[in-house]
Amino acid sequence: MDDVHSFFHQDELSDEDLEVLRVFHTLEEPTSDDPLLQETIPAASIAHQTDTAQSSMLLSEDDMLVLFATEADEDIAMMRSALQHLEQDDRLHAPSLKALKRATHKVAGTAAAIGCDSMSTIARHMETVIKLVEDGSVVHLTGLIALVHSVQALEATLQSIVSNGYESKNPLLELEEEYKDFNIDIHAAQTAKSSSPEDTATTSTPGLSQHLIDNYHTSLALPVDLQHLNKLIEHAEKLIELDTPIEYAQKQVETALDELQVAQARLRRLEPLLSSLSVSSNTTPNALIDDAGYPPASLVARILQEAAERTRHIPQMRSIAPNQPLLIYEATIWDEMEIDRFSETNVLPHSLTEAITDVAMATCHLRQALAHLKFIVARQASQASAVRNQAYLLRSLPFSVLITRLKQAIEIMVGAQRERTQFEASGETIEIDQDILETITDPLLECVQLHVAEDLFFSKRSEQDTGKGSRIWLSAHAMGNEVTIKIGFSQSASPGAIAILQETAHHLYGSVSLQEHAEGGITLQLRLPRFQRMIQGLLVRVANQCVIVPVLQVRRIHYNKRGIDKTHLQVGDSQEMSFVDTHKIYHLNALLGFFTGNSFTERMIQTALVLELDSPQIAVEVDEVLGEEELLMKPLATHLCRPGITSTAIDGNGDLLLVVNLPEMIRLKETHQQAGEIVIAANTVNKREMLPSQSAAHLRRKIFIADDSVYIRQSIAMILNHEGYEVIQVVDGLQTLEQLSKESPDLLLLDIEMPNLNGYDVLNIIRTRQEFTGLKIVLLTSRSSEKHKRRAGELGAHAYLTKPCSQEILLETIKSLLA
Amino acid sequence: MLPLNGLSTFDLEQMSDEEFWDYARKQADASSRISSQEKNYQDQYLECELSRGNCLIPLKTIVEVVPPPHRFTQLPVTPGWMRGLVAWRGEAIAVIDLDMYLCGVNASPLDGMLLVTSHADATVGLLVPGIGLTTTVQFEQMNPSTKPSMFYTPMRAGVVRGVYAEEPVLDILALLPDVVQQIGMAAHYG
Repeated sequence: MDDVHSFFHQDELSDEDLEVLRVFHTLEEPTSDDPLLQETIPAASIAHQTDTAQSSMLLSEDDMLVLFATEADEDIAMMRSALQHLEQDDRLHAPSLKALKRATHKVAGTAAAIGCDSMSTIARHMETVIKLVEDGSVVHLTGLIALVHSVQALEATLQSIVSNGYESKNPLLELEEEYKDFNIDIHAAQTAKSSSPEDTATTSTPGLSQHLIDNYHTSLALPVDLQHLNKLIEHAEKLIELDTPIEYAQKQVETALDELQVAQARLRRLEPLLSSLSVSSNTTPNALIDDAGYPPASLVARILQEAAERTRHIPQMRSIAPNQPLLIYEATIWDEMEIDRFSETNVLPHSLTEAITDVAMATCHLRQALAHLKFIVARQASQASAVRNQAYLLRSLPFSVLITRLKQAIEIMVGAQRERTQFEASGETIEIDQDILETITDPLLECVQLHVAEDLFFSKRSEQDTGKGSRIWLSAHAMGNEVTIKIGFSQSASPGAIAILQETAHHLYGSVSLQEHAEGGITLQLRLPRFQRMIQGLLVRVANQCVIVPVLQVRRIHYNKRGIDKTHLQVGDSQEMSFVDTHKIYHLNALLGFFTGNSFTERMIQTALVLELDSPQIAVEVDEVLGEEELLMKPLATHLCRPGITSTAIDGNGDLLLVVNLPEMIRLKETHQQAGEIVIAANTVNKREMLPSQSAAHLRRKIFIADDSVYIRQSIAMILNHEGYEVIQVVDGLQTLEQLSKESPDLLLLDIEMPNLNGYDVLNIIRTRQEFTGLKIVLLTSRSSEKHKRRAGELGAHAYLTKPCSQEILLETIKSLLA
Repeated sequence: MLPLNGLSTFDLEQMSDEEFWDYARKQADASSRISSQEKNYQDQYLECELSRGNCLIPLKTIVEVVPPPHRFTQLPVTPGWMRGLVAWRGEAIAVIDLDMYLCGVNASPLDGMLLVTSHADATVGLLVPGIGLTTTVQFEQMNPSTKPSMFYTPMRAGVVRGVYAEEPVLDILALLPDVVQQIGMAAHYG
């Protein structure tokens, strides 16, 4: 083997060559005295897993070291490539920077895991320098030079490991001296970095993004005074708000009219009664009819009496039959010529009849006027609505603005390799509120950046060699006050894209769904309102309150006409049974915190809203869906905001309705529940001895290892295989999801930094799928900040381990979770 | 121009100088009385009926007095004394059961009165069983509320400005921020 090494310099050997040499050598002389092994295996202090039992495993330590060296070499090559891209531009090149960050992070983690502290430290230094460049604390060019030197130091250290069998510290020390020359106080910066909140993988790159947004704002400038426009919208909204009191007033008038009719009917009923009374009064008091034959109250009698008093002459009266009462019909037929025949009691029913007739006519006129008023009010409402919509349109911009921005961004990002990335777009003319466009621009740019970084630096060499380019497509489709925006990636999914878009969509009362394509790639679909503050909502009743659920968040409404009690399901109820079994069901009352009665499994499920989430399997049970309405949302004052409730709307009756953001409510509820359940192991698990029975119990339990580092995967697989677990390895987020659907693992060891959907994306999707309810998830990452631990807990991880993690702690955590 | 109080210009012309200046003096007095009344408005308080007696609320902080709606919109996780939300002039405002807030007694019926109070950015509806007359109270006429009172719990002593005729005078400028803060905190701490 010495000969071999004399012929080939280590640098000239490819990974495959090294592997072939190693295998040949193992076949010839499988002893630890071998010079090659001595050369490639670091000192015993380097490798942290020296369990004697492991020597009999599939891969020995030297195998692992070869794996590490190979992987580190690839990562360093990736760093070089990213730095070359960065050198070509005087600005921060987002995809290159992301690629560089990921590669350095990976090397830092893997090197620490194998015990190569110098390499790990250099990689950490690089992460710090990148951060300083991003912050603007270090000038772009200086930062680049420092990074180039760092990569050289990494190479030199790796070389020392491969050549000498131990890790030389000199490159690190020299690098730290060079940092001083560049005025970079790396240790102070690291201290500051550790005390400040750590950036997540999904943080946008400020340089490019800001640049684009600046341009965006420039192009968004309206040719009208924005203040006046906002005033116009405000007045238009107020005009529409007047509908409520007008409608209320109309209802009051209608009620008054109804009451009037009732009163009229009562009067009509009184009419014959009064007439009969007047008849009886005409017949009974004969004495009241004076001698002259006229009733005493009669006008004629009074005139004659007064005349008699004046002239003392008693006129000769014509005789009137004293017992001749007026008939009812006579009293109602008024004849002026017969006036002397009527007494005042006869006049009363007649007047009543007249009054009733007048009231009836007035009521009729009032009804006609009200109908006319209603017609005018409806026209006014429609006109006011048109004014408001038109005012909103003044705030809108065509989707083409966003398309242009993304296209420009992609062109800048891919640079010389423009032909590799194909961008297709449709729906240019769809008008969307500027605020919404602004809100979604950053996240979409972020997704595109992540994808381009993925494509340029992490896609398989074979794909790059064949010249197979990637495709990004963007489309918009509008219906009513809803717009659906689709962004798709042909080859890989952007890590962190789902989390980024989900947060944005929820903020805008929308939703995100993921579609995986059989031929590869994914499409992310955002459903959003077209105009802010206008919402198409389902009016839903829960207990004695009505709330509004944005239609955008609901995929469909599940009705069960019979009302199925799960405990008494019969044959033929399989569909309902299936719904209960396949959906994670919440009750809106419980989500609102008003009522926590029996769980849905013990009650009848009548109506449920199946949510538009990543997975269709979350449903929210409600008491009744009353209808659909387009309403104007009003933001709640800060002190009145509650989780998932930040707006209200006012209905036609002037009642206040809460607008609920169901995905947000569910997310927060789950977070709340899991906060108490998560086991943040933090490398402090009790080191208990495992009992033999326990050992037998976990045999053949299936564990997934999702990590993009071959070394990490192999080393963990070795440990777990030795413990009797069945291990399946996956290299990225998308593969994790694909394999999870096919296999049914008991536990998932998940890395955060991964290509094609990162660990958070995977968690985001897993938590919405009922079939993964029993799956235990352990995050195994080199991210050690509390922020990451908290986020993992929020997303449903059961344990959080930090790399490098000792074998004992890893096994203890797994055993405790699978116990 | 001063009102002539039923006098025509002819009447004024008929007046002697002495009569005219007497009349003018009276008019001037009346005018100054009006301005001082306006000034006193700042010191006017509305008497509100509570289950354990009456309290006084500064009139200047009351924007509107309206009958409460038949139903309040329930908001999750709120203090027990918050009845719910109502729409007032197109905005959602919190409705506080003043009785319950002050002394922990839930006594305000739904057919009471809703006093919409506002200060700075905070607008809150105070639900009281009933309202009485307005009273003018000068600051000097108020006694400090040193003794424990059955009208309010010691915790609420900070929202009582003083006592006038054995009735607590509420300090709405202190009450509203306290209410807003507690409603906001309930969202975080339940």
